[in-house]
Amino acid sequence: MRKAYLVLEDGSYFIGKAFGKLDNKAFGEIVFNTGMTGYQEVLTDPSYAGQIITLTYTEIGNYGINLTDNQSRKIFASGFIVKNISPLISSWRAVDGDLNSFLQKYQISGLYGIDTRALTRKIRSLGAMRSVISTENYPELNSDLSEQEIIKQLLEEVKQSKQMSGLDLASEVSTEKAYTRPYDKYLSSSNFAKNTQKNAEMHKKPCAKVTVLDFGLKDEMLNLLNKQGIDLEIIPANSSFEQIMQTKPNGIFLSNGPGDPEACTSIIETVKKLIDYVSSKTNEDSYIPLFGVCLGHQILSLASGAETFKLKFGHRGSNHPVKDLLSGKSFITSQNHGFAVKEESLPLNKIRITHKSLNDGTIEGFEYIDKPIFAVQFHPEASPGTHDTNYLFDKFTSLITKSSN
Amino acid sequence: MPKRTDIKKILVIGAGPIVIGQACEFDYSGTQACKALKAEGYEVVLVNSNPATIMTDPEIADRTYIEPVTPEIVRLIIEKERPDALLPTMGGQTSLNVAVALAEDGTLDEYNVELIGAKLKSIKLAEDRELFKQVIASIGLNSAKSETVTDFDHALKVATEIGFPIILRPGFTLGGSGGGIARNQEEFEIMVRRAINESPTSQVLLEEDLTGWKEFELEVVRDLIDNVVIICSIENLDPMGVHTGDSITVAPAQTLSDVEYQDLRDQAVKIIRAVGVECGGSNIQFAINPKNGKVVVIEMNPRVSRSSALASKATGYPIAKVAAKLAVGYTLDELPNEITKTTTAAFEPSIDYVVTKIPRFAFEKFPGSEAILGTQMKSVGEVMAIGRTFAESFQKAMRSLEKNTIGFGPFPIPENLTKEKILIALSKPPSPDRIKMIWQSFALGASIQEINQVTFIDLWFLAHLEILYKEYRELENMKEDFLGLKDLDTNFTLTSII
Repeated sequence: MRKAYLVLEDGSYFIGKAFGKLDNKAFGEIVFNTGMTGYQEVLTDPSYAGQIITLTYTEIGNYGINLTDNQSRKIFASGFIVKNISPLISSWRAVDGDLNSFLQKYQISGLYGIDTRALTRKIRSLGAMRSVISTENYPELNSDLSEQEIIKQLLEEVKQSKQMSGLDLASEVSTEKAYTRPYDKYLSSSNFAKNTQKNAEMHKKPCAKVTVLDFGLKDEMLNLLNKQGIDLEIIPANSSFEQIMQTKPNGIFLSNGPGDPEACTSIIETVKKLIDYVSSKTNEDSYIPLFGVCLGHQILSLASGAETFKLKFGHRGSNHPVKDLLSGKSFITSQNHGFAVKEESLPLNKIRITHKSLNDGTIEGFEYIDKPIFAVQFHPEASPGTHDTNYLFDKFTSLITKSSN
Repeated sequence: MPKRTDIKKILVIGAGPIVIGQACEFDYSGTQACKALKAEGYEVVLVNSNPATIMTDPEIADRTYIEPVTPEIVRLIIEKERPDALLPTMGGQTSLNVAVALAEDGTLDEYNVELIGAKLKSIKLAEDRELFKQVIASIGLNSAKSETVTDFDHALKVATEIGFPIILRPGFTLGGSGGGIARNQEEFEIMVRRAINESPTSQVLLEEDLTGWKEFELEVVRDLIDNVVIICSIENLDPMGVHTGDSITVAPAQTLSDVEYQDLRDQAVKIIRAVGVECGGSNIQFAINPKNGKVVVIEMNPRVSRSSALASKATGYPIAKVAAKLAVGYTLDELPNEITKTTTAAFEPSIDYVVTKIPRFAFEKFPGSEAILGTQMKSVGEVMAIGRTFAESFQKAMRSLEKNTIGFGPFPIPENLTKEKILIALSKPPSPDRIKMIWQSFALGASIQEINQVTFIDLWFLAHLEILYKEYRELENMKEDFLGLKDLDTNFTLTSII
């Protein structure tokens, strides 16, 4: 068994066993996710670009891989750390092999067999840090190079690596070319548990066309929009205002994505124009509802004049409670964000807060008072996570279909 | 919503004597509930016939009646105490049954006592298996093929339609007493007569046998404004066919992908809403066909249960305490999270460890009872262990059983025992010794696939048990070099050092 090294920016290190891609060094910001299911969805969520993920739950890989659960075209996380890898897979759905070969296929390095609780506590107390997983072979180890020297070298390299703050990763992970996804695509891509009852709800013809700004979107977002009977056109993150308008949308969806929202300067400028353009009058051509999720939420808030800040260790998991301030109800949401919107910076003359985290009180959603624009920080499409807030996709559709055009 | 001020005095019904199927878990929940209600300023009246419980200690309730938990006696207590509300969900099935009787005979109306926590309609919906099946069908979910019978002739007819093996579940009984699996006509005739007798309503549910399907449970909590959270998912190591109380169970569920888990969660939320348990905790059980993922809803307990006691200890979420506060009007986001203190009870615990529960049997104390596990609960207690991995928690739980083992093995291998023999024995109805037999099977060279074919225990669990077995063998092989003590002490066994 190949040894693997995890070295953190603060100089601490863990020695475990390697899996996934060997002979590799993977750099990234180390974060933890508390979900107990959904490792495959987490790995393929583009919001994790540039990050090394450790899972707090310990038994991982039990149910193997099913490619229909992928949230994007590949694994975006730069590394993966778990306590225990399953000795075998046990699931009728595991038609696409095991976790180890999945990581190998996408050239991602993993490390297992360390005390992930100690690691998580470190991240909680010191905050998300730069780190490296090394699965290199160190034949010299036997001769003159001591383990301590390897770790020292790796630490030097970690200190040279990129900081997450200031990184515009959305433009990097976004689709390069625009593409479309007709509303009935959902029928052909339907996977388990979304079959029967949900298909029956499909419309006979599309009810609207939505343009999706891809900052690093997850497939389930497209599925849920399709399921509403919506035709989709997915366009690159850096599309200009004119390019967006050329797609003639009835609504615009701003997706999730990785990185520092404040670094997405050109995107923010474009979204400012969109907000100014959008009219509240349902009989006007410019009545185009906007719906932002996660990074989309942060960008909408920045474009509205608010500010964001980096959370110490972020919200990542499937069990984050959020209160809907409009209905008074609480929901369990899926979250994955390292930055949040500063409450005091929100322009409350034109915006009202709609959702707040029940854990730390941070902003989880807002809407415009006089425009069809709303956004949430959490992931209503879940995957992984609960379906509690799927209703927001209904809200988006009902805003769009109010248009009398 | 703040707590209700229109009710001042609340009657809590305890579970009565400790019997198989209903033990100290209801003392745990009842005590939590009484304390929680008292802390909120309510006057708590408790009735429980068992003086050897914590809940009957003088400081727990304002007034405690150590009287039989029967409708007649509770009616007298109501007459004397005139409570504003009755909380029936903390004392197991006994308490629910008494509440149903008092609601139906008009006592509660007569004395203007409100049922809180669960309404009569939901209790009956969840407990009357026929009505429950109708509800499940009405929300588009599956339940097992089955029919309720009340007389012998009808039972025979239905059994012929469903086929053997067939499961018998008498309605409104403790721990499913009088139930079981009949493998043929002959067994069925004996068992169905007994089951009809055992059920206070003579109702017996005859059910398609789902033996070998995987079994899961979700612990669900709902509040009066319809917030629903899942406290814990539980996967049974023992597949369908063994009563949950007799099964080795593991939290969280191990072999479900997120897609499948969320589907179960959605189903659980739909069920608690459809049955109309307006607030408090419920336990919902599912079976899943390991070959194709088909989900069947097995049952729901509209009250705190043995599993919720386990879920509370496994996650730190005090279900009974929260349920009691929800019953008097609080919402989940108004109650504190007992672990963090700074956040609210509107959350779903996420754990970074594995919990294993193993039941403890005492067949030696019940001469004449058969040491076979089925749909009627027979265990007299249980141990629970927490470990960072399944193997660790399982090993700790095995040790805690105090059955003179140091964990999963070593067990003696009788001289004439062969792999074939042990596999045949494992293919018979499961016994409390099945774990020992699995160890013996490994020792006799059986593969996890061979064991899975006869026990239907999921390969994932078996793989971990095999690792534990191999680890033991490795240690044993090392013991001489490792210790160099062989000649020093002939009585020194591996058992005493691991």
